[in-house]
Amino acid sequence: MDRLDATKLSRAENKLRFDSGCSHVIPEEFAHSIPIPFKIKKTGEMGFKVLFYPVTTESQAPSMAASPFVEGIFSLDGSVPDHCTATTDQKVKILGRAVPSGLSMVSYYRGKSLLYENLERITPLYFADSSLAAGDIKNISAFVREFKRVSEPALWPDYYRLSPDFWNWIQKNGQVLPAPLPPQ
Amino acid sequence: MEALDNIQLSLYTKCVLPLKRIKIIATLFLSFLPCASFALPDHGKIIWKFSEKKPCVFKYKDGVSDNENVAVCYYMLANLKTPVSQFNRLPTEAAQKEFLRNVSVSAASAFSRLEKKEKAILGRNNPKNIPSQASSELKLKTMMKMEHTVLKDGKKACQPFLWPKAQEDSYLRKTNGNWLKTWRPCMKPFYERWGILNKKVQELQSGEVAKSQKKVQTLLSKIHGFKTGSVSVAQNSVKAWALSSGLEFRGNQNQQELPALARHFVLDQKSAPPPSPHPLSDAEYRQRGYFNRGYAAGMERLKDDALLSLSHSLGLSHTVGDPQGKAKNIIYQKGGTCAVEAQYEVLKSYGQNVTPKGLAEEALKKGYYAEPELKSGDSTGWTFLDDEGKLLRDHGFDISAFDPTDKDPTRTKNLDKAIKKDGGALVGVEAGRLWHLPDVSGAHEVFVTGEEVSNKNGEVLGYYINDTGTGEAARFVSKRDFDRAWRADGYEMVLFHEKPKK
Repeated sequence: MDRLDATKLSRAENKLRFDSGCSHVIPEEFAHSIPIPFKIKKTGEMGFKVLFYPVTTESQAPSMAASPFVEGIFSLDGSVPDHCTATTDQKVKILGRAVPSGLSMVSYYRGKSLLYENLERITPLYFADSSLAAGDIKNISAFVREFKRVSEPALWPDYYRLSPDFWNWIQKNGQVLPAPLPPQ
Repeated sequence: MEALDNIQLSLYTKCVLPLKRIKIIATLFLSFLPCASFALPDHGKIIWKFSEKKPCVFKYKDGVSDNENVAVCYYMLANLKTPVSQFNRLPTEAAQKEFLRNVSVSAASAFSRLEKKEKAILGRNNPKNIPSQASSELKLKTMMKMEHTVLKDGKKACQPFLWPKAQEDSYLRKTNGNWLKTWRPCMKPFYERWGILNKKVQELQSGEVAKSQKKVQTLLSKIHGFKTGSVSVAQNSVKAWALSSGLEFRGNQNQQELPALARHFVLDQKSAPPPSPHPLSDAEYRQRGYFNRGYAAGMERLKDDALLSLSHSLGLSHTVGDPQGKAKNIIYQKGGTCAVEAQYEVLKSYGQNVTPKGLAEEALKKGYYAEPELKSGDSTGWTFLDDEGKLLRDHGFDISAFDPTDKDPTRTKNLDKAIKKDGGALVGVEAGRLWHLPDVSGAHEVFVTGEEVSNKNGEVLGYYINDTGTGEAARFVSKRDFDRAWRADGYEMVLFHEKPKK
């Protein structure tokens, strides 16, 4: 088991793909985004949203991410039932590189593990919305740093769309958001 | 078209000046500039009759054909959004002629740019640029790079003259990824150069395989030539030979195997070597597609196979399944058909009469495979997770999707069992991890056709795969690398078992 597999988040995200509510709308070949925490204040629901998107996969060229097709929702504690929604738009638009350029295999997967680990650490803080210690800010900062480094730049506007409240919270805690995310 | 809007000089000047160029154009593209036709008697308006089969039929109202616009017609089709209606909407023949003249000027200018680019591309990708005394490694690396770039850059340079425009390879589209007849005039020099490079690359790659085979054989003959000796002497001899032959024992595991390896040939030197995983014939070498992921990956595979040959010969490990037998069914997939074509390989290995195209069409018809159009006009394709393996089910197999939440050793045992009993399994992997390409992502389906098992403790050392994404067959992937790629796709797997025939 490698480091990424050790995170609950990664395992829950993988499980969602094969969930009966999702496997009929998620193709095998799709890539998935990094899960983003969300909360619905009215209902008190807290969970994660993840995007599944087509990606070009050739051994001679960098992979290109296309507009996401499926939005999945899951939680770690079962508070939100797993489900997926597919877009009805059959026109797919290539958005940009799926993996940022210049990363080695080791650096990419290490970065992704760090990202998931930090996301697991900061999500309870976001859900609790309580005051933060210096160590918490450090974890938020580490999350943003890795997010900028390994996430798909072409999907940044979609990441924002998934949970604006989460990104506002990040910004409120002194972090500079990735450039294409709308300034608050 | 911007160039058309920016014409500054008089049409006459533009028409006459590029005449020299037009002579060249005429050779390649018939004639862009029908200057001579300006003086033709007026037949009335020209009608451009477009059809898929005959896209460039120009006729006057009185039925007389105007064949002089054919080449310029392809240029218009490649560069204008709605050229046919734009042309036919023009009110008079004179307006149409003027329109054609303008397009011709623009085409001539584009051709002039193409000429420069063509010269540069062919100059850069000339095998004569490589010094004859260069090592075979440098020659092969450089030529493989040239082989790739000459077509890529050529296609880019020819873009203004390529109609219909390039599409993704597909089993379901008419163009089918082939070079179209209408592309040939422009692409010919690039394609010719690619042919020369490809021939040389094939020769050099065969040479690398032959060199590797020779090294292994020399090593094996030396090893089997030992009559007696101590383990340590034998161990050192094996290591020395392996290193001098360019074979590296990588990782701790192989280092630990050395004493056992040495002990074996001291005590059991008379046993006949088992079948070698190293390719024995040119046909086998071609099926395996060693260099399909590039030079470094090809050399890595050759080393892996050399070590496996050695390991077999010394009785350290054996292969379960028939990777080489299944290698002959390897194909290069078109579009996103990995899940479909992995099933094609399974069906072929069971002797079923199927074709890659036929299966893709069947999958599309049954809704297992989708090939939506991209906004760029290209296509992409995918198979829904729920529909994985359903083609096998429809062709007489029981299938079961493996539960990805199961932990090791259950999943590995299931895979091992499937290889022994049913000749393999379909496994979902992360393409970038499998191909060792950091900038590639996306899940991918491969056919696991065998595994390498240690004779010492029954441990699985790695798997053999057929990969339609790279066209590689019988590729050995170490267990560690395989697990990483498999894990990254959530341990997705489809097991199959042929139903008894009635």
